[in-house]
Amino acid sequence: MRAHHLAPALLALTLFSASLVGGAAYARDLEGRYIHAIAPQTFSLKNQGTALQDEAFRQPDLLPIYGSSELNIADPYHGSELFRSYPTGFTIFPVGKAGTTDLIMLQDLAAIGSDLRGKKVAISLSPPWFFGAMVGQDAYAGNFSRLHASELAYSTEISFDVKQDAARRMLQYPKPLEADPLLKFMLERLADGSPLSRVCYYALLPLGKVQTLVLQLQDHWETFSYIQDQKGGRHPLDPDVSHEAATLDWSALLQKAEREQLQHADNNPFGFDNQAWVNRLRPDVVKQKSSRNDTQFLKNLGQSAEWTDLDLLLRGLRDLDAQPLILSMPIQGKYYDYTGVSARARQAYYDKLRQVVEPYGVPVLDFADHDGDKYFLIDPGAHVSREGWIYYDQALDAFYHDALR
Amino acid sequence: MTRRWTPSITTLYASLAALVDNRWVRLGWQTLFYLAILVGLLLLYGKGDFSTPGFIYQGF
Repeated sequence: MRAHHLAPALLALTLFSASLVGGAAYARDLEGRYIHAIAPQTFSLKNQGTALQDEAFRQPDLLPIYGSSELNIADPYHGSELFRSYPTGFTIFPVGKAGTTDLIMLQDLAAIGSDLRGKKVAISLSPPWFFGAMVGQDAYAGNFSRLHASELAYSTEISFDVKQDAARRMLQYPKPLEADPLLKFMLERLADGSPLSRVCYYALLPLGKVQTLVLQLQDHWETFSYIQDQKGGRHPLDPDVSHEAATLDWSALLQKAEREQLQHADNNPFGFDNQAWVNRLRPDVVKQKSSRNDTQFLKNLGQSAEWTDLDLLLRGLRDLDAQPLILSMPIQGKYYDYTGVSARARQAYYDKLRQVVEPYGVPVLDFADHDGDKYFLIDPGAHVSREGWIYYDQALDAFYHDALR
Repeated sequence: MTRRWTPSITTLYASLAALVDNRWVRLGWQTLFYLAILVGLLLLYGKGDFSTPGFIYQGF
Protein backbone atom coordinates (compact mmCIF):
# COMPACT_ATOMS: atom_id res chain seq x y z
CA MET A 1 0.00 0.00 0.00
CA ARG A 2 2.83 2.34 0.93
CA ALA A 3 4.56 1.64 -2.38
CA HIS A 4 1.28 2.53 -4.16
CA HIS A 5 1.46 6.04 -2.71
CA LEU A 6 5.17 6.63 -3.19
CA ALA A 7 5.09 6.94 -6.98
CA PRO A 8 2.21 9.47 -7.18
CA ALA A 9 3.64 11.44 -4.25
CA LEU A 10 7.03 11.68 -5.97
CA LEU A 11 5.38 12.51 -9.29
CA ALA A 12 3.32 15.27 -7.65
CA LEU A 13 6.40 16.64 -5.95
CA THR A 14 8.32 16.64 -9.23
CA LEU A 15 5.50 18.40 -11.10
CA PHE A 16 5.12 20.90 -8.26
CA SER A 17 8.87 21.63 -8.13
CA ALA A 18 9.02 22.00 -11.92
CA SER A 19 6.14 24.50 -11.76
CA LEU A 20 7.96 26.50 -9.07
CA VAL A 21 11.21 26.51 -11.06
CA GLY A 22 9.31 27.56 -14.20
CA GLY A 23 7.44 30.26 -12.28
CA ALA A 24 10.66 31.61 -10.76
CA ALA A 25 12.32 31.66 -14.20
CA TYR A 26 9.36 33.60 -15.61
CA ALA A 27 9.48 36.04 -12.67
CA ARG A 28 13.22 36.57 -13.21
CA ASP A 29 12.63 37.25 -16.89
CA LEU A 30 9.96 39.82 -15.96
CA GLU A 31 12.29 41.41 -13.38
CA GLY A 32 14.99 41.72 -16.06
CA ARG A 33 12.57 43.42 -18.46
CA TYR A 34 11.36 45.98 -15.92
CA ILE A 35 14.49 46.59 -13.83
CA HIS A 36 15.42 49.84 -15.61
CA ALA A 37 11.91 51.22 -15.14
CA ILE A 38 12.04 50.28 -11.47
CA ALA A 39 15.58 51.63 -10.87
CA PRO A 40 14.60 55.17 -9.77
CA GLN A 41 11.66 54.03 -7.63
CA THR A 42 11.78 53.68 -3.87
CA PHE A 43 9.45 51.15 -2.28
CA SER A 44 9.62 48.63 0.53
CA LEU A 45 10.04 45.42 -1.49
CA LYS A 46 13.03 46.89 -3.34
CA ASN A 47 14.78 47.20 0.03
CA GLN A 48 13.43 44.09 1.76
CA GLY A 49 13.66 41.60 -1.10
CA THR A 50 16.61 40.34 -3.09
CA ALA A 51 15.17 39.65 -6.54
CA LEU A 52 15.38 43.27 -7.76
CA GLN A 53 18.71 44.05 -6.11
CA ASP A 54 20.20 40.90 -7.59
CA GLU A 55 18.86 41.81 -11.05
CA ALA A 56 20.31 45.33 -10.74
CA PHE A 57 23.78 43.87 -10.19
CA ARG A 58 23.40 41.83 -13.38
CA GLN A 59 22.78 44.97 -15.46
CA PRO A 60 25.95 46.68 -16.73
CA ASP A 61 24.27 50.11 -16.91
CA LEU A 62 22.97 50.18 -13.32
CA LEU A 63 25.09 51.27 -10.37
CA PRO A 64 23.53 50.14 -7.07
CA ILE A 65 23.93 52.60 -4.22
CA TYR A 66 23.08 51.60 -0.66
CA GLY A 67 22.28 54.34 1.79
CA SER A 68 19.52 55.63 4.03
CA SER A 69 16.93 58.40 4.00
CA GLU A 70 19.02 60.73 1.82
CA LEU A 71 18.17 58.41 -1.07
CA ASN A 72 14.42 58.81 -0.52
CA ILE A 73 14.18 62.61 -0.48
CA ALA A 74 13.10 64.08 -3.79
CA ASP A 75 15.59 66.50 -5.28
CA PRO A 76 16.04 67.77 -8.83
CA TYR A 77 19.71 66.75 -8.68
CA HIS A 78 19.18 63.36 -7.01
CA GLY A 79 21.24 60.77 -8.91
CA SER A 80 18.06 59.08 -10.10
CA GLU A 81 17.00 62.39 -11.70
CA LEU A 82 20.33 63.53 -13.09
CA PHE A 83 21.14 60.12 -14.59
CA ARG A 84 17.51 59.31 -15.49
CA SER A 85 18.22 59.18 -19.25
CA TYR A 86 21.63 57.50 -18.86
CA PRO A 87 23.57 60.58 -20.13
CA THR A 88 26.96 59.00 -19.47
CA GLY A 89 25.83 55.40 -19.95
CA PHE A 90 24.38 54.45 -16.57
CA THR A 91 21.95 55.37 -13.83
CA ILE A 92 21.93 54.63 -10.13
CA PHE A 93 19.84 51.98 -8.39
CA PRO A 94 19.19 53.34 -4.88
CA VAL A 95 18.47 50.90 -2.04
CA GLY A 96 17.66 51.91 1.53
CA LYS A 97 15.57 54.14 3.73
CA ALA A 98 15.92 55.83 7.13
CA GLY A 99 17.85 53.57 9.49
CA THR A 100 19.49 51.44 6.78
CA THR A 101 22.84 51.32 8.53
CA ASP A 102 25.97 49.24 7.97
CA LEU A 103 24.70 46.05 9.61
CA ILE A 104 21.55 46.11 7.48
CA MET A 105 23.60 46.79 4.34
CA LEU A 106 25.83 43.84 5.15
CA GLN A 107 22.76 41.58 5.24
CA ASP A 108 21.40 43.14 2.01
CA LEU A 109 24.65 42.53 0.17
CA ALA A 110 25.26 39.08 1.64
CA ALA A 111 21.96 38.12 0.04
CA ILE A 112 23.37 39.00 -3.40
CA GLY A 113 26.13 36.45 -2.81
CA SER A 114 28.31 35.42 -5.73
CA ASP A 115 26.52 37.80 -8.13
CA LEU A 116 28.47 40.56 -6.37
CA ARG A 117 31.82 39.22 -7.58
CA GLY A 118 33.72 41.99 -9.38
CA LYS A 119 30.70 44.33 -9.29
CA LYS A 120 30.78 47.99 -8.28
CA VAL A 121 28.60 49.13 -5.40
CA ALA A 122 28.43 52.55 -3.73
CA ILE A 123 27.79 52.85 -0.01
CA SER A 124 26.52 56.14 1.42
CA LEU A 125 27.24 56.70 5.11
CA SER A 126 25.56 59.20 7.43
CA PRO A 127 27.98 60.60 10.05
CA PRO A 128 25.31 60.81 12.82
CA TRP A 129 25.17 56.97 12.90
CA PHE A 130 28.63 57.12 14.47
CA PHE A 131 27.75 59.70 17.12
CA GLY A 132 25.69 57.35 19.33
CA ALA A 133 26.11 53.91 20.94
CA MET A 134 24.24 52.03 18.21
CA VAL A 135 21.24 52.44 15.96
CA GLY A 136 17.95 52.03 17.87
CA GLN A 137 16.00 48.77 18.11
CA ASP A 138 13.00 50.22 16.24
CA ALA A 139 15.07 51.50 13.34
CA TYR A 140 16.83 48.14 12.99
CA ALA A 141 13.54 46.22 13.16
CA GLY A 142 12.05 48.62 10.62
CA ASN A 143 14.78 47.70 8.14
CA PHE A 144 15.25 44.04 9.02
CA SER A 145 14.65 41.49 6.26
CA ARG A 146 14.27 37.86 7.28
CA LEU A 147 15.43 36.86 3.81
CA HIS A 148 18.60 38.95 3.97
CA ALA A 149 19.43 37.88 7.52
CA SER A 150 18.97 34.22 6.51
CA GLU A 151 21.17 34.66 3.45
CA LEU A 152 23.93 36.03 5.67
CA ALA A 153 23.55 33.43 8.41
CA TYR A 154 23.51 30.51 5.95
CA SER A 155 25.99 31.95 3.45
CA THR A 156 28.71 29.62 2.25
CA GLU A 157 30.52 32.49 0.50
CA ILE A 158 31.14 34.63 3.57
CA SER A 159 33.76 33.42 6.02
CA PHE A 160 32.77 31.88 9.34
CA ASP A 161 34.55 34.68 11.23
CA VAL A 162 32.52 37.42 9.53
CA LYS A 163 29.29 35.48 10.06
CA GLN A 164 30.18 34.93 13.70
CA ASP A 165 30.90 38.62 14.38
CA ALA A 166 27.80 39.65 12.43
CA ALA A 167 25.69 37.15 14.41
CA ARG A 168 26.92 38.65 17.69
CA ARG A 169 25.77 42.08 16.54
CA MET A 170 22.47 40.81 15.11
CA LEU A 171 21.63 39.11 18.40
CA GLN A 172 21.78 42.53 20.08
CA TYR A 173 18.56 43.24 18.17
CA PRO A 174 16.41 40.33 19.39
CA LYS A 175 12.91 41.44 18.40
CA PRO A 176 12.92 40.70 14.66
CA LEU A 177 14.34 37.23 15.36
CA GLU A 178 11.30 36.20 17.42
CA ALA A 179 9.45 35.36 14.19
CA ASP A 180 12.14 32.89 13.08
CA PRO A 181 13.29 30.45 15.78
CA LEU A 182 15.59 28.57 13.38
CA LEU A 183 17.41 31.75 12.37
CA LYS A 184 17.74 32.82 16.00
CA PHE A 185 19.07 29.39 16.96
CA MET A 186 21.59 29.41 14.11
CA LEU A 187 22.79 32.93 14.95
CA GLU A 188 23.27 31.81 18.54
CA ARG A 189 25.29 28.81 17.36
CA LEU A 190 27.41 31.09 15.14
CA ALA A 191 27.94 33.60 17.95
CA ASP A 192 28.86 30.90 20.44
CA GLY A 193 31.41 29.28 18.17
CA SER A 194 32.15 26.31 20.46
CA PRO A 195 32.86 22.95 18.73
CA LEU A 196 29.38 21.67 19.67
CA SER A 197 27.74 24.83 18.35
CA ARG A 198 29.68 24.49 15.10
CA VAL A 199 28.48 20.90 14.71
CA CYS A 200 24.89 22.01 15.32
CA TYR A 201 25.29 24.89 12.85
CA TYR A 202 26.63 22.73 10.03
CA ALA A 203 24.12 19.94 10.76
CA LEU A 204 21.20 22.36 10.43
CA LEU A 205 22.68 24.40 7.58
CA PRO A 206 20.77 22.42 4.87
CA LEU A 207 17.50 23.15 6.69
CA GLY A 208 18.41 26.84 6.76
CA LYS A 209 19.19 26.73 3.03
CA VAL A 210 15.79 25.16 2.30
CA GLN A 211 14.04 27.83 4.39
CA THR A 212 15.97 30.53 2.50
CA LEU A 213 14.91 28.97 -0.80
CA VAL A 214 11.26 29.28 0.27
CA LEU A 215 11.84 32.95 1.17
CA GLN A 216 13.51 33.53 -2.22
CA LEU A 217 10.49 32.05 -4.03
CA GLN A 218 8.17 34.25 -1.97
CA ASP A 219 10.32 37.24 -2.92
CA HIS A 220 9.98 36.41 -6.63
CA TRP A 221 6.20 36.04 -6.21
CA GLU A 222 5.91 39.39 -4.41
CA THR A 223 8.07 41.06 -7.07
CA PHE A 224 5.98 39.49 -9.85
CA SER A 225 2.81 40.79 -8.15
CA TYR A 226 4.32 44.26 -7.74
CA ILE A 227 5.26 44.49 -11.42
CA GLN A 228 1.82 43.24 -12.49
CA ASP A 229 0.16 45.87 -10.27
CA GLN A 230 2.39 48.60 -11.65
CA LYS A 231 1.75 47.54 -15.24
CA GLY A 232 -1.95 48.01 -14.70
CA GLY A 233 -1.68 51.11 -12.52
CA ARG A 234 -2.58 54.72 -13.23
CA HIS A 235 0.96 55.37 -14.48
CA PRO A 236 1.79 52.04 -16.14
CA LEU A 237 5.37 50.88 -15.80
CA ASP A 238 7.08 51.18 -19.19
CA PRO A 239 9.99 48.77 -19.71
CA ASP A 240 11.39 50.91 -22.55
CA VAL A 241 13.54 53.46 -20.72
CA SER A 242 15.12 56.05 -22.99
CA HIS A 243 18.88 56.30 -23.16
CA GLU A 244 20.14 59.69 -24.36
CA ALA A 245 23.87 60.30 -24.33
CA ALA A 246 24.88 63.78 -23.15
CA THR A 247 27.90 65.54 -21.72
CA LEU A 248 27.50 66.69 -18.16
CA ASP A 249 29.12 70.05 -17.45
CA TRP A 250 29.82 69.52 -13.77
CA SER A 251 30.98 73.05 -12.97
CA ALA A 252 27.90 74.58 -14.63
CA LEU A 253 25.64 72.10 -12.83
CA LEU A 254 27.32 72.91 -9.52
CA GLN A 255 26.89 76.64 -9.99
CA LYS A 256 23.22 76.20 -10.87
CA ALA A 257 22.57 73.87 -7.92
CA GLU A 258 24.38 76.20 -5.49
CA ARG A 259 22.38 79.17 -6.73
CA GLU A 260 19.11 77.28 -6.27
CA GLN A 261 20.13 75.95 -2.87
CA LEU A 262 20.92 79.45 -1.62
CA GLN A 263 17.41 80.56 -2.58
CA HIS A 264 15.92 77.64 -0.63
CA ALA A 265 18.03 78.11 2.48
CA ASP A 266 17.99 81.82 3.33
CA ASN A 267 15.71 82.05 6.36
CA ASN A 268 18.13 80.66 8.97
CA PRO A 269 21.81 81.04 9.88
CA PHE A 270 22.67 77.34 9.30
CA GLY A 271 21.84 76.95 5.64
CA PHE A 272 19.05 74.47 6.40
CA ASP A 273 16.20 74.09 3.98
CA ASN A 274 13.69 76.93 4.52
CA GLN A 275 10.64 74.69 4.75
CA ALA A 276 12.30 72.20 7.10
CA TRP A 277 13.43 75.10 9.29
CA VAL A 278 9.94 76.55 9.57
CA ASN A 279 8.03 73.28 9.82
CA ARG A 280 10.14 71.24 12.22
CA LEU A 281 13.71 72.33 12.93
CA ARG A 282 13.57 75.79 14.50
CA PRO A 283 12.19 74.96 18.00
CA ASP A 284 14.56 72.00 18.52
CA VAL A 285 17.67 73.65 17.11
CA VAL A 286 17.24 76.79 19.23
CA LYS A 287 17.24 74.60 22.37
CA GLN A 288 20.45 72.84 21.33
CA LYS A 289 22.81 75.82 21.64
CA SER A 290 25.94 74.65 23.54
CA SER A 291 24.12 71.45 24.54
CA ARG A 292 27.11 69.23 23.65
CA ASN A 293 30.85 69.31 24.14
CA ASP A 294 33.93 67.82 22.53
CA THR A 295 34.65 65.37 25.34
CA GLN A 296 31.25 63.71 25.17
CA PHE A 297 31.25 63.80 21.36
CA LEU A 298 34.64 62.07 21.16
CA LYS A 299 33.65 59.51 23.78
CA ASN A 300 30.47 58.61 21.87
CA LEU A 301 32.37 58.55 18.59
CA GLY A 302 34.97 56.17 20.01
CA GLN A 303 32.40 53.80 21.49
CA SER A 304 29.91 53.64 18.62
CA ALA A 305 29.10 50.08 17.50
CA GLU A 306 28.66 51.49 14.00
CA TRP A 307 32.44 51.26 13.48
CA THR A 308 32.25 47.51 14.17
CA ASP A 309 29.40 47.27 11.67
CA LEU A 310 31.25 49.27 9.03
CA ASP A 311 34.26 46.99 9.47
CA LEU A 312 31.97 43.96 9.17
CA LEU A 313 30.46 45.37 5.99
CA LEU A 314 33.91 45.86 4.47
CA ARG A 315 34.97 42.34 5.49
CA GLY A 316 31.80 40.90 3.97
CA LEU A 317 32.33 42.84 0.73
CA ARG A 318 35.93 41.59 0.60
CA ASP A 319 34.74 37.99 1.02
CA LEU A 320 32.25 38.51 -1.80
CA ASP A 321 34.94 40.11 -3.99
CA ALA A 322 32.90 43.27 -4.61
CA GLN A 323 34.29 46.66 -5.65
CA PRO A 324 32.81 49.16 -3.20
CA LEU A 325 33.05 52.93 -2.97
CA ILE A 326 32.47 54.47 0.45
CA LEU A 327 30.82 57.86 0.37
CA SER A 328 30.27 59.79 3.56
CA MET A 329 28.31 63.00 3.75
CA PRO A 330 30.18 65.74 5.62
CA ILE A 331 29.12 66.81 9.10
CA GLN A 332 27.01 69.97 9.18
CA GLY A 333 29.81 72.02 10.78
CA LYS A 334 27.88 75.23 11.27
CA TYR A 335 25.23 73.42 13.33
CA TYR A 336 27.74 71.35 15.33
CA ASP A 337 29.72 74.53 16.14
CA TYR A 338 26.47 75.96 17.51
CA THR A 339 25.81 72.89 19.67
CA GLY A 340 29.33 73.00 21.10
CA VAL A 341 31.27 70.44 19.03
CA SER A 342 34.43 71.95 17.55
CA ALA A 343 35.91 71.39 14.11
CA ARG A 344 38.86 69.61 15.75
CA ALA A 345 36.56 67.10 17.43
CA ARG A 346 34.66 66.59 14.19
CA GLN A 347 37.93 65.88 12.41
CA ALA A 348 38.18 62.74 14.56
CA TYR A 349 35.23 61.31 12.60
CA TYR A 350 36.93 61.82 9.24
CA ASP A 351 40.22 60.45 10.58
CA LYS A 352 38.61 57.34 12.04
CA LEU A 353 36.61 56.73 8.86
CA ARG A 354 39.81 56.66 6.82
CA GLN A 355 41.51 54.55 9.46
CA VAL A 356 38.75 51.91 9.23
CA VAL A 357 38.28 51.91 5.44
CA GLU A 358 41.77 52.35 4.02
CA PRO A 359 43.21 48.96 5.14
CA TYR A 360 40.71 47.33 2.76
CA GLY A 361 42.03 49.30 -0.21
CA VAL A 362 38.54 50.68 -0.78
CA PRO A 363 38.19 54.26 -2.08
CA VAL A 364 36.57 56.59 0.44
CA LEU A 365 35.18 60.07 -0.19
CA ASP A 366 34.30 61.86 3.05
CA PHE A 367 33.81 65.44 1.74
CA ALA A 368 35.63 66.67 4.87
CA ASP A 369 36.46 69.88 3.01
CA HIS A 370 32.71 70.60 3.03
CA ASP A 371 32.39 70.32 6.80
CA GLY A 372 32.01 74.08 6.99
CA ASP A 373 29.86 74.29 3.86
CA LYS A 374 26.39 75.47 4.93
CA TYR A 375 24.78 74.23 1.75
CA PHE A 376 25.88 70.60 1.34
CA LEU A 377 23.12 69.29 3.63
CA ILE A 378 19.55 70.46 4.14
CA ASP A 379 19.24 69.73 7.88
CA PRO A 380 21.25 68.67 10.96
CA GLY A 381 20.90 65.02 10.03
CA ALA A 382 22.31 63.64 6.86
CA HIS A 383 20.17 64.70 3.93
CA VAL A 384 21.95 65.92 0.86
CA SER A 385 21.03 69.26 -0.70
CA ARG A 386 20.93 70.18 -4.38
CA GLU A 387 24.60 71.15 -4.14
CA GLY A 388 25.46 68.02 -2.17
CA TRP A 389 23.81 65.82 -4.79
CA ILE A 390 26.01 67.31 -7.53
CA TYR A 391 29.10 66.30 -5.56
CA TYR A 392 27.62 62.84 -4.99
CA ASP A 393 26.63 62.50 -8.66
CA GLN A 394 30.06 63.54 -9.88
CA ALA A 395 31.69 60.99 -7.57
CA LEU A 396 29.31 58.23 -8.70
CA ASP A 397 29.92 59.09 -12.35
CA ALA A 398 33.68 58.96 -11.84
CA PHE A 399 33.38 55.69 -9.91
CA TYR A 400 31.28 54.07 -12.63
CA HIS A 401 33.75 55.16 -15.31
CA ASP A 402 36.87 54.17 -13.30
CA ALA A 403 37.87 57.83 -13.15
CA LEU A 404 38.00 58.42 -9.40
CA ARG A 405 40.90 60.61 -8.40
CA MET B 1 -38.84 2.49 -13.32
CA THR B 2 -36.61 1.30 -10.50
CA ARG B 3 -35.98 -1.96 -12.29
CA ARG B 4 -34.84 -0.16 -15.42
CA TRP B 5 -32.31 1.96 -13.48
CA THR B 6 -30.81 -0.81 -11.35
CA PRO B 7 -28.80 -2.47 -14.13
CA SER B 8 -27.47 0.89 -15.28
CA ILE B 9 -26.25 1.84 -11.80
CA THR B 10 -24.71 -1.58 -11.31
CA THR B 11 -22.93 -1.29 -14.64
CA LEU B 12 -21.73 2.21 -13.82
CA TYR B 13 -20.45 1.07 -10.43
CA ALA B 14 -18.66 -1.87 -12.03
CA SER B 15 -17.12 0.42 -14.65
CA LEU B 16 -15.94 2.85 -11.97
CA ALA B 17 -14.55 0.02 -9.87
CA ALA B 18 -12.65 -1.25 -12.90
CA LEU B 19 -11.40 2.24 -13.57
CA VAL B 20 -10.20 2.66 -9.99
CA ASP B 21 -8.46 -0.68 -10.19
CA ASN B 22 -6.59 0.44 -13.31
CA ARG B 23 -3.06 1.29 -12.13
CA TRP B 24 -2.63 4.26 -14.50
CA VAL B 25 -5.90 5.84 -13.47
CA ARG B 26 -5.02 5.28 -9.82
CA LEU B 27 -1.62 6.87 -10.40
CA GLY B 28 -3.38 9.85 -12.01
CA TRP B 29 -5.87 10.55 -9.26
CA GLN B 30 -3.38 9.92 -6.49
CA THR B 31 -0.94 12.34 -8.15
CA LEU B 32 -3.73 14.91 -8.38
CA PHE B 33 -4.52 14.29 -4.72
CA TYR B 34 -0.93 14.99 -3.66
CA LEU B 35 -0.68 17.94 -6.01
CA ALA B 36 -3.82 19.40 -4.43
CA ILE B 37 -2.20 19.05 -0.98
CA LEU B 38 0.97 20.82 -2.18
CA VAL B 39 -1.02 23.58 -3.87
CA GLY B 40 -3.10 23.95 -0.69
CA LEU B 41 0.07 24.32 1.38
CA LEU B 42 1.37 26.86 -1.13
CA LEU B 43 -1.81 28.90 -0.88
CA LEU B 44 -1.80 28.70 2.92
CA TYR B 45 1.87 29.43 3.57
CA GLY B 46 3.31 30.58 0.24
CA LYS B 47 2.70 34.28 0.60
CA GLY B 48 5.75 36.03 1.97
CA ASP B 49 5.66 38.90 4.40
CA PHE B 50 8.22 41.52 3.44
CA SER B 51 6.59 44.31 5.42
CA THR B 52 8.44 46.07 8.20
CA PRO B 53 7.12 47.78 11.34
CA GLY B 54 6.86 51.54 11.05
CA PHE B 55 9.15 53.75 13.12
CA ILE B 56 10.34 57.31 13.40
CA TYR B 57 14.09 57.50 12.98
CA GLN B 58 15.66 59.23 15.97
CA GLY B 59 19.30 58.78 15.13
CA PHE B 60 20.23 62.44 14.64
